Amino acid sequence: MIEWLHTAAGTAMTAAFLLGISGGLTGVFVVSRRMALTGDMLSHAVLPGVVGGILWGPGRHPLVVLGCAVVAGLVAAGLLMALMRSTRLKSDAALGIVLSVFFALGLAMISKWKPGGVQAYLFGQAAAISSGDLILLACSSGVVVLGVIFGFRVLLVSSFDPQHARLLGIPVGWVDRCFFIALSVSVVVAMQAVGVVLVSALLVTPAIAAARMSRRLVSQAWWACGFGVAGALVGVWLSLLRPGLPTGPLMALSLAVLFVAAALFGPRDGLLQRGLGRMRQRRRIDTENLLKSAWVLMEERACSELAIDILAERVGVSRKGIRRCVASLVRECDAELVESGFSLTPSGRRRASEIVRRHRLWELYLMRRADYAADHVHDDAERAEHWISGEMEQGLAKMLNHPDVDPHGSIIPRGVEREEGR
Amino acid sequence: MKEVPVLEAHDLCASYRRRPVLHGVDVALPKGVLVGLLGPNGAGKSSFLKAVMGELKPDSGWVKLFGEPVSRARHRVAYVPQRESVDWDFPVTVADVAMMGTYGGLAWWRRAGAQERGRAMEALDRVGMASFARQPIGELSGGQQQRVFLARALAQDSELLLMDEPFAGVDAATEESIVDVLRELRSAGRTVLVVHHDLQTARRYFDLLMILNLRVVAFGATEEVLTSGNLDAAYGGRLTLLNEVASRSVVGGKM
Amino acid sequence: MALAGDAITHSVLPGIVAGFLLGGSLDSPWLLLGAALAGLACVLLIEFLHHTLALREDAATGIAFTTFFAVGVLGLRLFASKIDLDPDCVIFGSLETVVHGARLSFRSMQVPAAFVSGAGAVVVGVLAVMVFGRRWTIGAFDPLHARCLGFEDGRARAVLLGWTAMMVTSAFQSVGAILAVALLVQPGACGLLVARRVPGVLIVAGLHSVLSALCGFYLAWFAAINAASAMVLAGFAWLCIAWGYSLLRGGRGA
Repeated sequence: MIEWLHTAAGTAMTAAFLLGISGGLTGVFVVSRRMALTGDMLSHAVLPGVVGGILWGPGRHPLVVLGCAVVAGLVAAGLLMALMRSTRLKSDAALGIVLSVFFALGLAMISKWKPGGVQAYLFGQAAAISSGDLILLACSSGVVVLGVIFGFRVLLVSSFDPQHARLLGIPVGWVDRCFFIALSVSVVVAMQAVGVVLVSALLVTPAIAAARMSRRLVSQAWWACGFGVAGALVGVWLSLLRPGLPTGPLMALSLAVLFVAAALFGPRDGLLQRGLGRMRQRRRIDTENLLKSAWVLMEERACSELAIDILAERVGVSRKGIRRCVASLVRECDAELVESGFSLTPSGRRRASEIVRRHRLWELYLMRRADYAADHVHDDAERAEHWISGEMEQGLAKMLNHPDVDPHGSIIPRGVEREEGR
Repeated sequence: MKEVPVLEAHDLCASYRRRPVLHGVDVALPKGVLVGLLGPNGAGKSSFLKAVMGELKPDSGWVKLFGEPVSRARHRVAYVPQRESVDWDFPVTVADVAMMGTYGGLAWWRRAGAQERGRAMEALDRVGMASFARQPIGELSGGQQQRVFLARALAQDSELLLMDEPFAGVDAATEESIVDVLRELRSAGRTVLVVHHDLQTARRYFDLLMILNLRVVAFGATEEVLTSGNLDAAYGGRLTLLNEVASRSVVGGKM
Repeated sequence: MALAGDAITHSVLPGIVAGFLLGGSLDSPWLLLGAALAGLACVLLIEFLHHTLALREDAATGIAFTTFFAVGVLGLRLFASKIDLDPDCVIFGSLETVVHGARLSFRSMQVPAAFVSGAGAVVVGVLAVMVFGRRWTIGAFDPLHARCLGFEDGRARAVLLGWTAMMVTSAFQSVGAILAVALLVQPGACGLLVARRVPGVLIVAGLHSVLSALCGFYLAWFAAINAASAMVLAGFAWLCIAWGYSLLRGGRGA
C-alpha cells in the first residue's frame, strides 16, 4: 500500500480523494454563503504569495508557500472589504479589481524573477505533487474537515443569520475569518492539482450537485463530499489513460457530468422527473376528458356501449389517441373492451360522474362567488375539473348549499358519500 | 428600589452611511409590556432595533439592556427579522430554523439533543407550524415564514423580543394568531418591542407606543400617545432644523 | 455585470481553440468568431442554469465558466500538435511579441495585425456605444423600466455581451485572458469613483485606459516585467488615486 502511495498514480489518486472531501465540504458553505466568486478571486489573488513563497528560500518548501499564499489572500480580502465599504462599487466589480491586480502582481513577479515550479500552481499538475505536498494536503484537509465538523452548528447559524448568531453569543467575525482562512488553504492546495482557474470547479460544482439531491445543509455536505471524491478520482483516472492529459480539466469535466446527472435524475426537482411528471399529467387529463365525453355520450344515447368511431367524431380526437386512452382506462379497470367498442365499468361510471360533478360545481362557484358571466365559466371548469380533490369537492358542495343544477340547467350528479371526520 | 428597565436608551445618536438615523433618543421599557414602534419610512425604527442588538454602534449616547451594556446582555434578546432580509434560498428546513433558537446555551462542542429538539418542536407547535417541520423555508407562504422565525425566538425563551415589521404582507388570520402568542408572552412577564406600520391595529395590540422620527416624538400609554398632534409631528415630515443639526453632528467629526 | 465579463474572459478559450483548428493560425478571423460564440454560449448557459434550474447567479457562473475553460484547456493539450498556442501566452499575453507578429501592409505602411484588430474593435465599440448606449444605461439601471419603454432588453444585452466577447478576444492576444478582466473592470470602476453621471463615467474610463496603458508600458520597460501586468498595476495605481479622491470628496460617491 505504501509503495502504491509513492507512485505517481497513487499520489495523484490520494490527492484527488483528499481534495474531493475538503473541496466538497468547504464548497457547500461557499455556495450557501454566496461566496462562489470569492473563491475564484482567492485562487487568483494568492499568486503573489505563492511566487513569494517559492522565491523565499532555496527549493520549494510547501509550508512556506502555503503561509505566504494565505497572507496574500488575507491582504486581498482586506482590500476587497475596504473597497466595498468605502465606495459605491458593487461586490462583483470590487472582486474583479482585486482579482486582476493581485494576479497581475504575481505575473509581474514571475516575469521578473522566473521562479521554478510556478507552472504547477498555474495550470495544475497532479503528477508533480511531491510527498511533501501530499502530507501538507492531508494535514490541511484534515484540519479543514475537523474544523467544519466540530464547528458545523456555529458555521450554519453564522452563515444563515449573522445577526441572530451574534445574539446567541457566537463571535461571527472570528467565524468568518476562520472560514476564510480555511477557504484560502483549500484553494492553495487545490491549485496544485487543478490550476488557478479550475479551483472553483472543485469548490462549486460538487456543492451545487449536492443541492439537487437534498434540501438540508447537513445532507448536502455528505453528498458534496461524495460527488467531490467521485469526480476528482474519475478525473485523475482519465488523465492516467494517456500521457500528457491534464488532470485539472478532466476533474472539472467529470464533476460537471455528475452535476448534469444530478440535475436530470435528482430527487429534488430532477429535470427528468419533471418532464415525466408533466407527461403523466397530460395523459391523465386526456384520459379523464375522454371518460367524461364517453359518459356524456352514453347518457345522451341511452346506451351502454360506444364505438370508437362515434367517440372520435364527437370529440375530434384521432382514433389512435382514443384507443390509447381507452387502453389506459381498461388498465385502471374503468372500462371494458367489447365487440362493438367499449363500455364503462361501474367504477368508470362513478369516476366520470365525479368529474362532471366537479366541473359543474366549479361553474356554479365561479358564477356565484367570483361573479363570472355564464358564458365564461365552461373553459375554466374544463381545466379545473382535473384538479379538484374529493375534499375540495365536498367543501364546494357545502359552500354552494348542495345544488342540484348547474348554471346551464344540467343536473349535477350526486356525489359519493365520504366518511365524516377523517 | 426601582426596577431595572429591560431596555434603556439615553441621548442615543446614530448614523448610517453618514446619514443621521437616530438623534437624542431617550426611552425606558419595563417588564411585561407589548410596545409598538411606529413612524414613517426611514424614521430610524429598524436602526433603533439594530442599536439595541448592538449591530449599530451609536455615535453618542448609550443603550443598556437589563441595566448592563449591550455586549454583555444581548444573549437575553431574541429577534424576528424583516422578511426581506432573510436568505430564503438557504438550505434549511422549518425545524432547522426553530432549532437555531436553542443553540444559545449550547457549548460549541456539544451536539444538539432531544431536549433542544423538544423545545424547538414545542415552539413550532405554539405558532401552528409543527406539521411543516420538514419543509424547506423557501417553500412557505409569507405568514408561515413569519411564524417560523417567531418560533425560533420562542425557542430561545428570552426576556426581550424584538420584531421588525412582522405583519407586513401577512394574512389577517396569521396576524391574529401572532398577536395571541405575543399576549401570552406579555402575561409571562416578557417584553416585546414590535416595529409596526398600521396605526389602527396599533391601538388594539400595544400597551405602550413609541413614535419615532429621527427622535422620539412621543412615548407612553397607547391612548395618550395617539393624539393628532403627535401624529402630525411624526408623519408630517421631519423638523428641518433638527435634521440639519443632526446631519452636521454626523459629518463634523462625531464618527 | 462584472461577473459576466469575468466569466466570458475564461469561457472564450474553447472558442479560440476551435477557431485555431479551423483557421490554422493566430490571425485567422475564425478565432474572433469562435471566441464570440463561446462567450455567448457561456452566458446563455448561465442564464439557463439560473432560470430553469434555479441556481444562484454566482454558482451558475462558477460552473459554467470552469466547464468551458476546462474544455478549452483539454482541447489545447489534446491538439497540441496542431495548435501553435502556447498555454503561457494564454495566461500572460505577449504584448511584446505580438507587435513583431503578423503584419498587414496598409498604404505602404507596415502595421502589426494586432493593431488593426485592436483599432477595429475600438471603432466598433464607439459605434456600439453611440447606438446602444441609452438602452444599456436604462437596462442596467432598471430592467423592468427598460422593458416598459419598449427597449427589448434581451437584444441589447446580447449585443453588449457579444461585443465584450469580441473585445476580450482581441485583448487576449495582447494581455491574456485573465488580465482582460482588469481591462474590463478597472476603467469603469475608475469612472464610477470620479464622475457623477454616465457620460462622465465613460469619458473618465476612456482616459483611465489610455493613461494606464501608457504608464504601464513605461513601467514594464523600466522594471523589466511583463507588459500586460504592468498595465494592470499602473491602472490600479490610477484607480487608487481616484479612490483617494472619492474618499476626500465624502465617500460612497456622495
